[in-house]
This record gives sequence, C-alpha cells and structure tokens, in this order.
Amino acid sequence: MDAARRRWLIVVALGLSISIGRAGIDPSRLVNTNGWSQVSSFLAAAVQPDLSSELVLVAARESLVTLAFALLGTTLAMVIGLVGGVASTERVWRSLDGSRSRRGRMGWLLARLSLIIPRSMHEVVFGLLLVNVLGLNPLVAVLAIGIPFGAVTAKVFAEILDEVPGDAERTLRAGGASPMAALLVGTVPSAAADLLSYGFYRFECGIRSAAVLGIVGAGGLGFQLALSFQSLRYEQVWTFLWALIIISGFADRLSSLIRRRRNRTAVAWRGSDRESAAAPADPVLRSAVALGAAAIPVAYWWLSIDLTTLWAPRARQLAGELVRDSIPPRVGAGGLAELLRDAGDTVALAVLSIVLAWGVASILAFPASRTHRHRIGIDRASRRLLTALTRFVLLVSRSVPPPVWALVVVFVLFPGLWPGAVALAIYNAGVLGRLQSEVIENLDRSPEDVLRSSGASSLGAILLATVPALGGRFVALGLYRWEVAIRETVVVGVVGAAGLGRRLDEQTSSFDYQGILATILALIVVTLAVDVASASMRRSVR
Amino acid sequence: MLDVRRSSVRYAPGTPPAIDRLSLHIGAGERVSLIGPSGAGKSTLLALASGLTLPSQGEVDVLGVSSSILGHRRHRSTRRRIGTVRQDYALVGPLRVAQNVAAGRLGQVGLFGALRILVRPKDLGEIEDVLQAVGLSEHLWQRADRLSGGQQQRAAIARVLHQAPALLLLDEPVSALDPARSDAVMALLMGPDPDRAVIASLHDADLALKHSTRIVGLREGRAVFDLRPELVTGEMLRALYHLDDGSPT
Repeated sequence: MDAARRRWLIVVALGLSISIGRAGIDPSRLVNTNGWSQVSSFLAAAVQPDLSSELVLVAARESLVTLAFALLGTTLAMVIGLVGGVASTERVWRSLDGSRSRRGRMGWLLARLSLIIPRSMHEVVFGLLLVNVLGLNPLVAVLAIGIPFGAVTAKVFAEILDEVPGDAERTLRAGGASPMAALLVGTVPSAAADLLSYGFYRFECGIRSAAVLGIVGAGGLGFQLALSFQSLRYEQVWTFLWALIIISGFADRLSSLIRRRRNRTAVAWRGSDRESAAAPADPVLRSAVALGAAAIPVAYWWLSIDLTTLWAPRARQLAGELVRDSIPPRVGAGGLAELLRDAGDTVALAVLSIVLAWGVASILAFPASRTHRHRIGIDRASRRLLTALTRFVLLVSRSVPPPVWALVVVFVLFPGLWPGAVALAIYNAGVLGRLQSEVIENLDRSPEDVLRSSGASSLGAILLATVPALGGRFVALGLYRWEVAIRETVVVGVVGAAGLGRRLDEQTSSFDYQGILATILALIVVTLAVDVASASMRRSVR
Repeated sequence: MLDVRRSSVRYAPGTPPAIDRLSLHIGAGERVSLIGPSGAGKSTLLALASGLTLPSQGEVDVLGVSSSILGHRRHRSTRRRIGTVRQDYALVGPLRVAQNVAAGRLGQVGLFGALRILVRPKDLGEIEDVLQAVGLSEHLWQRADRLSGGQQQRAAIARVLHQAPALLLLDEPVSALDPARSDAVMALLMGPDPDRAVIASLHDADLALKHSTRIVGLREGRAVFDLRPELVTGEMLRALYHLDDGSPT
C-alpha cells in the first residue's frame, strides 16, 4: 500500500469515528421502540396499495407529470451540457499549433469556474430559489433539474470530447475554420453516441429528482406522495410509490441497456484497427433518441409550460426582490460556530450514509449481477430468483425518494444525524448496488476461472481473484456517491435530520433570505471541499 | 506563396532535427513534389507550411503571413486559403461523405453554417461534382468510417478540392490508391491553375516526375536537390534513397 493510500485510509477512519461520535451510539437514546408498529404498518401497506380506479387515474396522470419534468429537465441539461462542455474542453482554447496562450487559459478557466457553482447545488436548492421568482409553475421543476444537471453534464461532455482523437478537428482548423466550428463538425459527431447515452443516464436520475422536487411542492407523483403521507394513508402512499418504482424501473432498464451496448461496441471498436473497424450506429440508441425527441413537445404541452413567464415583469421584479432580500448573507443568531458545526454535521451525514450504503451494496451487488456462471452451491432456478429478488430490492430502495425513507426511519429513530444517514443510506445502497453489479458484469473473470480449474473452491476463487480486481472500482464508485450524497443531505433536512439541510429548512420557513444565502454558500464550500478530497482519494485507488 | 527561411524543426531536444536549416521559396502556379526516404522531413515540411508546427529556428511565411501568427483569429481568412490532405486522412468518421466534403468550406461558413453541415449540407450539387471527379459519387451518403482506406483518401481529397485553396498541401495523397487511379487523381490535384501552388510529398518518384514542375529531394531534413523534373537523373534518385549513407555531413 503506498503512502497516499495509507494517508487517506487514516483520514477516512478518523472521519468515520468523528461522524459516529457526532451521531451518538447509545441505542436507548437513539431508537424509539414505540415506532416499530408504524413502520410495520407502512411496510404492510406495500402489498395492499389503494387500487381504486380514481386513485390509479391520479397516479397515472401524475406519473406523466413526473416523466415530463424529467424529460424536459434532461433536455435542458443536454443543451446546457453541450454548450458548457464545448466551452470547457481544453482543445477549443488551444491555438493551432497546440500551445496555450494566456487568453486561452483564462477562457478555459472561466468556462470551468462558471460551471462549478451550479454543479455544487442540489436540485432542491434550485427549486427553493426558483419558486420565489416563478411561483408555482412547472418551469420551476424543469429548471431546477436542468441547471444543475446541465453543469454536471457539461463536465462529463468535456471529458468525453477530450478523449476523441483531434486529427479531423485540427485539419479543419488549419483550413480556416473557427475553433468552435471545427470542434462541432470535427469532433462532436464522433462523441455523439457517448453523449446521448449519458443523456439517458441523466434522464434516469431526472426521474428521481423530479419525485423529490414534487415532495417539496413542485407537483407530480412526489407531491401526491407527500399529501398522502401527511394524512398517514399508507395504502395511497404505496399506490404512488409503485407508480414511481415502475417508471424508474423502466428508465433504469433502458439506460443500462443503452450503456451496456455502448460499452460493448466501444470495446470492439477501440480494441481493433481503426481503419478496418467502424463504430456502428446503435439502432436501440437511435430509436430511444427518436422517441425522446418526439416526446419533448408532448411533455411541453402536458405541463402547459409558458416560457414567457421567465421574462415577465413580475418574475423580474421578484428576482430583484430575492436578490435584495438575501444580500448581504448573514450567518444568524448562532454565529459562525453554529454554521461550522452544521457544516460538520453535513459531512458526517454524508460519510455515515455512504459507509452504510457501500457496505450493504457491496454484498448485494454480487447476487444482483447477471453473470450467473459462478454462483455457489444452489441450482439455476434459485439463482435466477435470488438475482431477480436482489435487483428488485435495490430498485425499490432507490425509487422511493430519500425524504420518504427519512419519514419512515424517523418513526423508529429519534431526530438527529442517524435518521437522515439511514434514509440516505437506503437510497444510495440502491444506486450503488446497481452500479457495482454493472462493474461485476463487465469484469474479466478469467483469473477466477484459472483458480477454479486448478481446484480452488468457488468462494475462494471469488475472494482471491475477483474481489481484489473489484476493490478499486467499488471504492471509486463509493467516493463518487459520497460527492452526490453531500448534495443530497439537503433533502433529508425536511425531517429535521441535521446539518445545513435542517438549517436551510428552518430558514425557508421563516423567510430568512440572508440566512439562506449564507447557508447555500456554506453548502457550496463544503461540496467543493468534498469534491476535491474525493477526487484525490479516487486518484490514489486507481 | 510559401517562404521557408533557414528553418529547423526539432521535436525533442537532443534528437536530430526533422528539418535542418532549410530554405525554400514556392510561388503561385508551381507544382512541387517532395521526395526522399522515410524520415527525410517531408511531412514535417508540410506541417510547417500549414502552421500546425512552428519552426524551432528560422521563419516561415505562408501566403504572406508569418506562421507564428497564422493561428490567430485574425488570420483565419488566410488559413481558409490553405488546404491539407493528411496521411491519416483526418475524416470525421461518423459523418457522411457529403458532410465531410462540405466541411472543406467550414472556414467560410461560421457557426450557423457548421450546424447546417451537420443537418444537411448546402452546395450538394458542387459536392457531387467533386466526388464524381474522384470517383466516389455513389458513396455520397455513406458514413466515412465505413469506407475502405482508398475511398477515405479520395474523400479527403474531395474535401480539399471543395475548399478550393490557393495553397494545397498534400501528404502522400495517393498512397492508398491503385496505379491507374493514382495517376488520374494526381492529374486532378496537380492540374493547371496559375493562382494555386501545390506541394505534395510522394514516395513514388515516377509519379512525382510525371506531374510536377519542380522536384525537391529531401534527406535528413535538408534539400539535396531542387530541380525541374527533366533535370532529375536516375543517379540522383539512387543517391537520394541510398540506404548506406547514414552519416550527416
């Protein structure tokens, strides 16, 4: 183990101990045993959702609203991502002979910097700000998804574009094309399939975001869910949850199908001679894109979106008021010490939830992976059943929005760090388990086969050959989810979890805009710090 | 058109220079072939002429502009008049042949025009004509990465012909074509046009002698001879390509 890795291991162990210390470990003060009956009646309602035609109709209609939010939000994100991605690739800022001028460096830096802030804010935070300007308007959800997703997408697009060989682009530039035009014609087409398949992954995330935004008031399934929850009608809650599970199940399948095909063709293409092999156009991707494009105007009409509200005098006036009310930021009664403590709690929340989620997901990922070849000691049919069951559990845990998990967890855990951490852990275990099972499916298992053929037991072969190969990638995924989790701490703030999310929730209820701005700034700083730490840790496990 | 003054290119310190204090002047209407063994500096000289590589020593003027500032935005109008065909063709794989050819005029159309190329290029008639000339008209709507090597090379040539540059820089432009096709394409590229200068690196000396008005023999980054084709003797060619004489003088 090298020095960097050892150092990070110590930091992680230290961070985890501090987080556990902050959260507390005395069960009698953490667990509310009276709440179990509520949890069990909530879970029991899962098998008997309210299927009255009236409610099913509502669920169907609201599913379309949620899908429409996700689709339009993703579309906006793709547009922002393309423009931002093109602007923040290094190559457009390089001069013809490959050197970088001062101006080029400045432009590149500016493009990158302008994407950092929207990237570090959760969709709900955007929703919170936008609702003050646009009121109850479907555009709030679309923009709240589109802007932060767009900033993330831009970063990913820039990386994809940077990987395309630059010969064609350079030749076009040498022939007098502008850097932008040369990139657009010379490079973007070669990256288009990767860009689009990433778009489907974003759509899948968009559905989950749309549900959460619904819970905080934007409409759609999330909103109905929250209403039913408030009146404790669990049968109704489950009707909406099942609807959510079904649509996110479909979106997950589509996006992972597209990615799997993409990986395969990419390997086949890059692995062979460039002149003889062509990256084939993927009919599945093409039809999915056509379908998505056709659905955009439908979604627009279904939500009855009115773009003119964006520049209406009222919106401008409200935006002006929002800016005036929130400047300068003010830390509030507790002072800086309290802000710092809340920021620390936010980090602790993310650390606890990811460590829990990672531990559970790393185990579930094996039965969830579709590589059936090396299961231990059970027959084929049971293996299939086990796989289907695990995948279903993972799907449910990531389809139910974290605030709902938080509301359920809070029945049995007293308010504090733990309920938020457990809620985020359940949700992230669903996401991580799926990503990790994809890693297992893509893994080269020949080392394991060699060990088995020389007489090792199945479990021994997995432990010795496969687990070490997975370790680095699993850790990298966990770190990536940690970056996401730090943003998500905001959404479990609604149950008074802890940290900056709770603070934001309190300030929102009391219209303390100066305080809100201070909290958002603190969130941005914490998020960036975690991004930097995570990137550095990921480098050390690579 | 092209003025190279005592220029050297060294790719890495301590290695022998790819171009060694070379001087060369090429005027309008000239048809220049660069010949010489591999590693003689033919491709480097062409990269120097296109502004993609800057000289580590000396100066290069392309169409009256110093190559050190040719990459600047205000000299894009100059770069528009420089066309290149690279050894690796540098086509955009997923785009159709017609779109690739249309991209030859990317310097003249701006960002909106670039988008238009991606949707459906204009000047389709002209594009078809130029593809007809290189014998590729039946592949108008084929993806460029589905073409064979020779077809890709002709598509790259069609692109540069569509650009109609004043200075045409060709790096082994017919290396993937059969002899008859090579001859026809060379005639097309080197055809008479008093306003255009053409510089081609060729490994086939006969082809060079047949189509050029001037032959530059390169070896170890220096011009061994620079003559009209009828003055180039077999003896000179043998000496140029001779394998033994490796020590620089």
